[in-house]
Amino acid sequence: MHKGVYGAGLSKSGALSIRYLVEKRTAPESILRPLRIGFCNSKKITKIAAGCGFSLFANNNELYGSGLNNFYQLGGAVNDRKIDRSEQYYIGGKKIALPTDSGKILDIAAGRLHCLISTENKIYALGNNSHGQCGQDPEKHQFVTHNRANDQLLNILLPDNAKVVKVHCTLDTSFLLLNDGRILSFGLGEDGQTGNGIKGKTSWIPQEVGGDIKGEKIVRIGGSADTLLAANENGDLFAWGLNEYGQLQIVTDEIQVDYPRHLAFKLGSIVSVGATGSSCIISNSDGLVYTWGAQILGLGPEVSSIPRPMLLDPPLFSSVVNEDGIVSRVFSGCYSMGALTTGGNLFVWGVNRFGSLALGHSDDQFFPFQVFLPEQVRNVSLGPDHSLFITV
Amino acid sequence: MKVALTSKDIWQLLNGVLCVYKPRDISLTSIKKRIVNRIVEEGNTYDDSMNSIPLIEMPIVEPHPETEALMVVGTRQQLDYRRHPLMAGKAFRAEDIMIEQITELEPASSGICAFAIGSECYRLDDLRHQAWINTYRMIGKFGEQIDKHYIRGKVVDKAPYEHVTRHKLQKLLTRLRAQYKRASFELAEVDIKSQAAFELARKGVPRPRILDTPVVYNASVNNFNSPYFGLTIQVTGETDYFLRAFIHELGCSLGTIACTKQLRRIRMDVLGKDHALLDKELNVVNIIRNILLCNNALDLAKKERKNR
Repeated sequence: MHKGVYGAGLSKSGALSIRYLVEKRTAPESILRPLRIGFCNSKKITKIAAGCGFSLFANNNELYGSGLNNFYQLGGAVNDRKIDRSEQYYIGGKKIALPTDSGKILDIAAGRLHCLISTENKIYALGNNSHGQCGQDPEKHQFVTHNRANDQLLNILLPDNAKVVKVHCTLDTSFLLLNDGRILSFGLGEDGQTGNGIKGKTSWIPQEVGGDIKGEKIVRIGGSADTLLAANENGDLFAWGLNEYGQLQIVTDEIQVDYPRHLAFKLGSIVSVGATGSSCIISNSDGLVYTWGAQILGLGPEVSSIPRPMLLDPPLFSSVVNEDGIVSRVFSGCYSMGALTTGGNLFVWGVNRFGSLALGHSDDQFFPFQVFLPEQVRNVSLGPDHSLFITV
Repeated sequence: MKVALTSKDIWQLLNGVLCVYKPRDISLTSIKKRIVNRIVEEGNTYDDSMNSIPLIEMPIVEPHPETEALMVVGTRQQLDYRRHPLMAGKAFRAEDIMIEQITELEPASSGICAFAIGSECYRLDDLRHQAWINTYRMIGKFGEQIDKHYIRGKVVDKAPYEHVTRHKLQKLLTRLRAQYKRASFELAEVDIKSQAAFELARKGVPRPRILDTPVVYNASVNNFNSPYFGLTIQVTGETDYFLRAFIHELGCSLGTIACTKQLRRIRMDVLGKDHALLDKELNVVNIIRNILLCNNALDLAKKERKNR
C-alpha cells in the first residue's frame, strides 16, 4: 500500500507543491477537491504540517517543504545580493537539509511564519523570530535559517536535556511536549498563549507552562489560534489563552487566561483536543465529539454560541448505513474543525477559506460533511488557507 | 417448546413480511408459487376439519297424510354438510393466500427477496415509502458490452481495458459518492446550508422523499483482477436495470466498456443474510418463524427511527 498525500485550498502560494497550478494562469486559485500531490508519491511521507501559505512533508529521515519562503519558513541560505540561494517561494517542493547529526525526524509543526522540527538529538526552528517563536533572542536573530553552506542550523537549547515527544505551533507561539509530561513554550505571549505568564522581551526562552498543568503528565496538546487545550494521560482537560468567545467560560469570564486552568467537564477520558480562533473541540475514549465556543460549531447555522460542550451525534460521522461513527481523532485549523473515524473517514466543517475544506464547493460548512478520498485517511493538517491529508 | 398449531393459528400468523434467498435462474413468480404450494400442502395436514364437522338438527319434512301440505314432523341429527371439507374445501387454498414482492429482482440475479404476506399486502405502499437502502455485491467485467446490459446476453461490443487500474476505479467511485451525497440532501428537499440539513444529518443518512430516483450511498471496490472487478454498492430507489447500467457507465467513464457478470442482493435495509430462508428450508413452521422474525426486526427499526 502506498502512502499518498492530498491537498486542497489556495494553490497560488505553491503550498500544494503542484507546479502547473502556479505556472498556468488559467489554473484555479482555489482547489476545491483533494488533489494528489505527485511530489510526495514515492517518498512515504508520514508527517505533514500546513502553515500559512507553506507546507511541510516528512518521513523518518527526510524533510521537504513547499510554498512561501519569504520569511525563511522553509530554510535555505540567506538571500543577499552576492549570493542568492534562497527563493521567495517554492512552487514544486524542495528538500530542507537538516544537520547530519540530528538523527531520525520525530515530529513537525508549522505556524504562521515559522515551523518546528523535532529530531532524536536536536530541536530546530525555522522562520520568522520577531516574537522569539524560534527559540532565539529576537534582538540577535530576526529570523532563523540555514547558514551559507546549507548544512548547519541553530538548534534550540533546552533546560536540563529534556526529551521532546511532540512539537506544536500556534500562529506565533511554539510548544514542546516533553516525555515527562511537561510543556515548554516560547514565542508570542501577549494574549496568554505561552501559559506561563511570561510576555515581552524574555518570552523567547523555553519556559515550563504552569498553572493547573504543573505536576500533570500531559500527553496531548492542541489549538491553532490563541486558545490552547491540553489533556493528561488520565483524560483530564486543561485550557489557557484567549477567552474572548467563552471557551473557558466554565471557569472564568476574563478575556485572557495566562495560566492553564482545569476544565472539569464530565465527558469521559479526553483523548484528542483542538481549538480554532473562536471554538474548541474534544473527543473522548468512547469516540464521541464535543464542541463549544462561538461561530461555526458543527451544529447547523442557527447554533452559533454555546458555553458548555455539546455532543455532535454519532450518526453525523457514519458514512454508510449501519456503521457507527466512532471518532478516533479530532483536528482544528484556525477556521475549521475535522474528525477522523476509526474506519478512516474524515469529516470537516467550518469556514471554507479558499476551498480548503476540500468538499467540492466554496461555501461554509455548518455540520460535519465527509471529505471523499479514494483511500482511508490517516492524518490531516488543517491550515489557515490550505489543508493536507495523508491516506493509506 | 412445541406448540400445537391449528389451521386457524396458521392463518393468523401468516401476516407480515417474509424474507427468502432467491437462487439464480429462478423467477420471482416461481418462488412465490413455491411458497404458496408449500403452505397449502403442509397447512392442509394440520387441518382436522374431517373430525370436527358439527352435527345439526335437520327438520324432517313430510306431507300431511290428508291435506298433502308439507309440514315439519320432527328433527333428525345429521352432519352439517356446509362444513364438510369436500363441500367447503380444505383449510388452505392457493387462491386465498396473498403474497406480493416488495421490490423486483430479475431471474439472472440472486439474493435476498422480501415478500408481503396476507394483510401486509395492503400496506405495501407504506413499506415502499420507507426508502429502504439495499446492499448489493456485483461482479463486473471490463471490455465487453452485452445487449441491453443483461447478465446472460449476447456480447455486442468489445473494447481495450488494460489501461484501467484499481486506483482509477477507486477515484471514480469516490467522485460518485461525493456527488450522490450532495444529491441525497437535494432529494430530501433540504438546503444544505440550513439548520434542517443538520437535523436530517444527525439522524443518520438522509433518505430521499422523492422515490424512484436511485441514490448510491456507498460504492467500494472489493477486489480487482483485470478485467474482472467486484463492487459493494449501497443504494436506494434502484431497479435491477439501473445497477446493470451503472456498471456499464463505470466502464464508459474509465475509457472502456463494462458488463455485469453477477448481481447479488445481500441486504434489504434491516433484513440481512441471517434473516433469509433458503429454498430447502421452506416449510410452514420455518415460514411462520421467519415472518415473526422479520416483523420484529422491522418494528424495532421503525421505533428507532421514531426515537431519533
